Amino acid sequence: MTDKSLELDPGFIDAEDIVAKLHFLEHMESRWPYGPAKGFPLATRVTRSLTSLPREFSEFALAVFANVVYLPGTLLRESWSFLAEKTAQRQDTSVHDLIENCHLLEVDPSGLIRDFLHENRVEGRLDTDRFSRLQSIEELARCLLLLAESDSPKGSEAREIRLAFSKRYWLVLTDNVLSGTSLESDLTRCQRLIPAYADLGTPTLIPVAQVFTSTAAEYLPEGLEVTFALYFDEQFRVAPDNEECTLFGGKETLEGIVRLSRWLASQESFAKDELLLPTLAKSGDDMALGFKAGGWTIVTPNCPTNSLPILWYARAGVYEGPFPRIMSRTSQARGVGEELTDAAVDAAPQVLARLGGAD
Amino acid sequence: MRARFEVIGVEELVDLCVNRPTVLLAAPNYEERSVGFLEWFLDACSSHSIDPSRVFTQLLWPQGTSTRVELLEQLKVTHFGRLKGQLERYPGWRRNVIAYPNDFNNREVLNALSQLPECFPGEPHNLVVDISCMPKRVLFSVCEGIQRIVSSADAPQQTSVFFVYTSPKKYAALRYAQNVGQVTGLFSGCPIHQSRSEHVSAFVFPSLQGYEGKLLYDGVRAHVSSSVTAFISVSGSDYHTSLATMRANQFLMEQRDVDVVYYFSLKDGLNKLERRIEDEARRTTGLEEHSRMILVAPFGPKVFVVAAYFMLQNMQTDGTPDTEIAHVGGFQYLSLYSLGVSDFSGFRLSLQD
Repeated sequence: MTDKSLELDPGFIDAEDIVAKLHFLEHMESRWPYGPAKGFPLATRVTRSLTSLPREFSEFALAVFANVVYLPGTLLRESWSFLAEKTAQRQDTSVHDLIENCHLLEVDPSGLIRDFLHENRVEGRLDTDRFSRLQSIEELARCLLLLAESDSPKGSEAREIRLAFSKRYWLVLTDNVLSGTSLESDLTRCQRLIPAYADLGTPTLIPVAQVFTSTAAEYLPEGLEVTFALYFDEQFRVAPDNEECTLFGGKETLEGIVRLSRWLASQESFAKDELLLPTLAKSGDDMALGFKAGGWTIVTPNCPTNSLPILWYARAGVYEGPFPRIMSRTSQARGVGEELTDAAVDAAPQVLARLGGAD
Repeated sequence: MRARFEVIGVEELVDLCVNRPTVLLAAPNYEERSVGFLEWFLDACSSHSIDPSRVFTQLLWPQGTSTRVELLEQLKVTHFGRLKGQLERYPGWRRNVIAYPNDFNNREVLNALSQLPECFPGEPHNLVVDISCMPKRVLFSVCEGIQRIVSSADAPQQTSVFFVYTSPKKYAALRYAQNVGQVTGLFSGCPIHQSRSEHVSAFVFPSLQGYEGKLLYDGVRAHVSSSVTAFISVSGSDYHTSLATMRANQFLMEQRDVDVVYYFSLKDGLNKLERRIEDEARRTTGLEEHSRMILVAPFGPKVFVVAAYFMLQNMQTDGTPDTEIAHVGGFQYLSLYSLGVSDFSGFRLSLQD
């Protein structure tokens, strides 16, 4: 991998089956590259990561890298047809009926709706009489406020709102539900908006996730069942004394990885990283095991913060994990979703009156 | 007549057996799941007050010969004994056992199948086939037998056909493949590489062993032109097994000329296979007949053998290309193969004019 010897322990490498696992990952990555790594092969990135760590952690880092659950975009995209079928089955209807009678929302919009419709071979994605353009709960709340506040709301806004509420189902699409916080937040907002606008319709709320975890299952509101394609439980989680973890050959490896993770979190450059501060604040801990102590080894097209930072944390001259992440939130500005929802709920009488008048 | 596969819940299947007599066909062996559905079905029939005389159970009982492994034989006897004990609790339950050798002649299976409609002469009935542990060549013969039954004039009204597949809790850790054969076609009985077709479109469902996929790839590449699509199972609740399958088939997944399709359930796999086969048939329309072949290689879950059989039968009815199902003979039973009983998946063979 490099001309500089890493002096790795062959016994450890054999016991943890690292050669075969890393070789498999290299193949997966060469076929479905990890985008943010910008063309550097995995072997190069792994070597770079190892050389910037204290020697005592080399084997443990290697064990984490070899046990990454690599989920390329193509695999995740192909889950949408399965998810549509499973959701339809749960609602005792056909995929066609489900899609024609649903309003699609996304948690943190990133093109999932387009992928969902394409994978299910749905023609007419941009037909405004079939699919509302309000693709997140935040957009929906903003549109409601526009209707309430504007002296002369556009007809298109009224149409979008009517269309969204006229649907039988609201499908809330999301890629990863690892801690469950983002999905929980959006679902709670939907649960507040729908009753306030019940005169327009009372769609059934259905969360649909590509990846779901046991941690998220415990966090989400009761009574809402998430339809998911991939489920990861404690077997796949790095956490102190997690006896259910099956990723590694020995308990010592798990303990070593926890020590390595704590070492990284204790570095000043990590703890005071400005790009990371908003996420650290939201996590409420030192994020040694990732956002909300996730401890996952899951790598998606942009490695989630819930996975171990040793995988994704990258600052030049400090440490560069093999799966560098492009941060989604870098400012400390508070989300406006809650206030928007509150305002949209309060505005329900005016909006309903206007929409009634517009009929 | 076109055949389609539809998912049906096993509870719903039992409901359908309340007012209609049922013929149950299964092949118990040393895997616990091979009797898992039968045991569940017996209990369900009892709780639905189904008259035992309205159910006929036809068991295919493999008798080990050259590849006999005593420990596995003991397990077979244990499972079968348990099943017999359960059957004896329901007096009047009709059953028949066909013993067949490992190197079987499919005439025996076909013969038994042809007689099944006579279990309830003149009466519309259900035929439920537990495919979980049927050897592939036996399963192929069962499909042939069912094809004959449903092709008879009054079949759609007379015989409703269902398949049940039982997933294991997990697969055994060690499976050493022994005595690996070559890739042959189940329809023709000939090695795939000897086929006269110039262009081969192969759809492969790789197994946990991995070697069959490599053999198939090599065989298909011997033709003038070929395309290979690998269907990789991604289990929502058992990613370890999915990962093991991917690692075992790394060679296949590495090839740039192999298209990879991920599927997330048996039904999802069936949908994606059907879609790909239809696309391929459209894509190659106009090529000279018999110069091309559509080949399905169901080395993974058994349900794909059945689905491939009927999907390819549809194509033969349409008079399109040569079709074939690939099979690799081998003896791998130096481990239990699977452990425990997990989910039951039911499928209805729907026939449309």
